Amino acid sequence: MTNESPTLIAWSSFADNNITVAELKTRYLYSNFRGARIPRGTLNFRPSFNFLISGCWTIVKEIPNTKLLVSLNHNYSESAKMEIFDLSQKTVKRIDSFDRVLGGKRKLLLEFARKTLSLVLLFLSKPFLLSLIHGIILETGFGDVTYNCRRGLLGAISVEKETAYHLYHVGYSSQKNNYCVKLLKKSKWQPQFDAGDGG
Amino acid sequence: MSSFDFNPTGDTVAIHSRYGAILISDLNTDEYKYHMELSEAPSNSIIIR
Repeated sequence: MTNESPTLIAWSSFADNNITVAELKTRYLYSNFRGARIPRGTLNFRPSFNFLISGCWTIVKEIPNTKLLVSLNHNYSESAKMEIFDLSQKTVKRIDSFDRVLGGKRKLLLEFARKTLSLVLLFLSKPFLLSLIHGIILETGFGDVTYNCRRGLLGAISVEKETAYHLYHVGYSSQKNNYCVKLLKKSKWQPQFDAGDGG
Repeated sequence: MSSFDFNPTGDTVAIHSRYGAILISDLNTDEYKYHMELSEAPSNSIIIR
């Protein structure tokens, strides 16, 4: 986990998102801890043994030049969650846990409640129906994460039709003697993303 | 959105959608710069310079 020869390797399990860090040469188990977790949904059937059925996907990624690991847990049609861990000490420390980003069914339900109210006023107008149809596909997907070393920018978590990605800044706070991760913005969804889906 | 990447200077982002569209936009302003539609949705895409 340096610019030289790698010494550690990390991986995450599917649904439970258990993260294991091991030394490459010795295979010594450096650490094992729980990554970002999404509460079991009540609106969907989600057995934990198969990501293809559950729609769960986890990602673990190192932030270069730090001892930080980003952990993502995506439930394709429901929500996504991100947490940041500090591996500088033997005991892994969670330094940031961000609010779960809702997509899919949960978001749809909230949207539906809001728009049902509008329905009374709008009498099933065309804009209402179109926005309801768009609400059906507010997915968080399987996710991806990327990082720019020069500016300390971290991008993660998309919500289809709404947010292209969440942009965070990773910086070191000498006062707190620790890293600090701050949400900068939610990048807007560009209409050109929908090219090819008929949207 | 399937995957995305920042360029080395951190001012441009490339995003590709699951429908096969790759879009380049300004990281600071979100301003649309360019997009192309592929005949086949890519697995991932990166900015190489």
